[in-house]
Amino acid sequence: MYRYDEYDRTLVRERAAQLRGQIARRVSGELTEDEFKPLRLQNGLYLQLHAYMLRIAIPYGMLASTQLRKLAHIARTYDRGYGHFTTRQNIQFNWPELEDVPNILDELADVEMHAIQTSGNCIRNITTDHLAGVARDELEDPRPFCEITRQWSTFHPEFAFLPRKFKIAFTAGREVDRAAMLYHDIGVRIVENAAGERGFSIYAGGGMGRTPVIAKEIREFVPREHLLSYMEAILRVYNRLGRRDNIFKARIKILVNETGIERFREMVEAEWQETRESTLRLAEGEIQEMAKFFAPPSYESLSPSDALLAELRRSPNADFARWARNNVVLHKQPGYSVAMLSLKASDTPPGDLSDSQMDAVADLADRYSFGELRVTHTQNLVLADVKTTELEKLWHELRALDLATANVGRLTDQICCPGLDFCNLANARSIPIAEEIRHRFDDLDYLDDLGDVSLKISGCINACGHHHVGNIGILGIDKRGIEHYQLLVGGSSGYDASIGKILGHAFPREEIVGAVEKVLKLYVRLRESEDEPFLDTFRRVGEKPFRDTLYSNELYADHPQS
Amino acid sequence: MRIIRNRKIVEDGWIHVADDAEVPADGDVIVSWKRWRESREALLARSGSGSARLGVRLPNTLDPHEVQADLPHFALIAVEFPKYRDGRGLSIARMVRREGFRGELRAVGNVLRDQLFYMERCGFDAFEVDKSKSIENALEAFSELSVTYQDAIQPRSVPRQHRWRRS
Amino acid sequence: MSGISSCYVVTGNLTQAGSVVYLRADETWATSLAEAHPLPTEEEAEERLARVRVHEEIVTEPYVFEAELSDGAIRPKSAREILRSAGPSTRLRRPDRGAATA
Repeated sequence: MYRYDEYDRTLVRERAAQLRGQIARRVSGELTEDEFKPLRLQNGLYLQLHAYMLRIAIPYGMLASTQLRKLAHIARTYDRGYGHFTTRQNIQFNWPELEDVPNILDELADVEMHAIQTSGNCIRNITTDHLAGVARDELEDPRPFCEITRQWSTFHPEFAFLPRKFKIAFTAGREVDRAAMLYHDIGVRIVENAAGERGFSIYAGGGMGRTPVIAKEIREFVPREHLLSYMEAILRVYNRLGRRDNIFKARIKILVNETGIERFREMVEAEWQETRESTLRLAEGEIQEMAKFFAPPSYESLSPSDALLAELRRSPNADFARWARNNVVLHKQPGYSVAMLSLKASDTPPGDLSDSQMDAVADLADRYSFGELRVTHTQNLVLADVKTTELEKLWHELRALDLATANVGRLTDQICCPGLDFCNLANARSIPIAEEIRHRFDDLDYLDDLGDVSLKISGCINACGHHHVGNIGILGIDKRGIEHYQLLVGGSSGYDASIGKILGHAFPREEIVGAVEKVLKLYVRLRESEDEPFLDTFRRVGEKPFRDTLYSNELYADHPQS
Repeated sequence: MRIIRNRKIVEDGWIHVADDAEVPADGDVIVSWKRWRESREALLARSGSGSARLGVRLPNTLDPHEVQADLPHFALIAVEFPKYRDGRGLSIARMVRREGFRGELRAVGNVLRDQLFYMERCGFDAFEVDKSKSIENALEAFSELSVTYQDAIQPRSVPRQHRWRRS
Repeated sequence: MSGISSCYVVTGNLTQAGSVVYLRADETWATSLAEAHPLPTEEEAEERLARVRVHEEIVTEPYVFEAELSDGAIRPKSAREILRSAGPSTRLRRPDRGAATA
């Protein structure tokens, strides 16, 4: 992974000192809260319901064991013994005090980490496929481009006060998008053109929030050397013309929709003519230099292990076999496998990890996976380079840590935002819903029978829990002070992106999980075979049967088409 | 009025002329973009002498391409920041510099310390710091970060190079 | 016969600690809702709010919420204020480091 030199270290140290000064000015009254807020947000510092929350960047999800140990130390020393991994591959601490924050940033700087631009109206953490560099269907490792983009966007002087936040994601999978690329302000897909040259398909104007939009292709092929110049052109058009009169209409998706993709593309292309021959043009040598940081680890030369993995998946140890089926992914390097650590276990909120678990996982990374791990946008962890022969040993250790729940991709592998238990913006709680679903659907055989179903829960319309793109989505709303939940069906975050549909009125808290159960029962009845995934069945039969099963005993005059 | 120019606090000699006020015969003046469009000939005749320089104040909603042809007439361009969170003026500065403007580029309006670092890197070299704040304190903004990750239009104390291009 | 009436409470978060506080009758801040001073009308609450708003270095973004006053006990009406006063409903691994004081 990318390693800092003295230059990078200076930057993160000076940034910590800068925030220390800004906090001092805030406390002395020199800065008003209104003036301070954008400054603290650009350092990932929120004021939530009960306390401050600090969001720390994990660039494109890559984490070294030494960094995870530092996060454990921070959780123990400055927080309440845990951290929360987010859908943007970051980590949040929920209880720091203001005066501790610069100390935390100093500690982070020691291990090449920071909280820069994890919030605020600027370019946020760059995200990508958690299987970057190890996926079999990958065209090219996107991480060198992620790091170049991270550097270009860090304290970019022109884009520090955009109309609204700005998220960029990269993907390189030939078959599968594992980064929800089409729901980003800019989505970048590494592609090969007809001439066999590598470059990027660039998408713009995607996003979730209160107006979910699938990004539109703005240019089918941007040559490699023009990645930054093209993105800078998009950002410049957006910075000048994005709406600033209404916070709910300020994202680039609204600009693209209001101007139309054709006109927006014209403006970007015109600006690109000015930027494409600037110093932003990347030399192939620079890309290759950066790629060295992401060279494969020193793999042993092993024989292919697909047959062995197939055998492990039929192991007489049924629990291990299930884990090997659900949580282990084929690796492109012979003899190695990818192990997914589910953070959706027992009674902990989705995405949470305790300080002692962090320390233990760091040790596992050192012993099994070259000292590195990854964070997924689905709020799990990955040990990406595990010898297939060591999987069972690893599983035993994970089980002792309560990190071997064999539910990756299954219904209970839920994405879930912090909700009203923590968040200042939320309208309803989401963690207790996730918990209830986990208890209701605790039969792993049943979950396996359902196959892969994504369930995503947001506590408000801002959609941090990605409810629009879950095969099943749950959205918390407030009805006169009482929590209610909308149910959405049919979303997808992949290359086949689709936005889930709300099929009727919201359910009160005590009915929402029953509604999920009805939807699942209907799916099992309607699927053509056990191999037809939930989403395929929904797309084949349409929404009517689902609406009928949810609202059959009611009159729904507002849905005349049914 | 004291302003920051080239990282120093100086007494400013330029006069902001309101749209309904008379333009003085002598002295360096800054007029609005609107006034420039309406009284172009008179303003040009006035600044022909050389002792009465002309500056123009651009709203941040303006398309900088519209200013391009007029750039040679201005010794100063002021860009308005109605709210410090509004970053449109940063793009305008970069574009104006890209078009080759070499005169003073001044940030005016709700200009606060914590923007100055970004503003300077977009091409601003003069700052009318918000009157409610200490201009001395604001000077510190330039020394907080000694390294930067990307090339910019007018870096002063930092090497002009992209991070990913360093040796 | 117990009386239930509406009341208004001024609240905010401590600028330093971040924790939830409520305005007492003497215009100091309490971490417990029980110690809050319930005001009978929104106007009175807004008046108090305007007075404390100038001390943002102590309490950030103070505001007023509506509650029910039932036998002297303040009961927030919204799920949000119920959770703010009681803390997260999820299991926390480690208890508070100790309530902050204003």
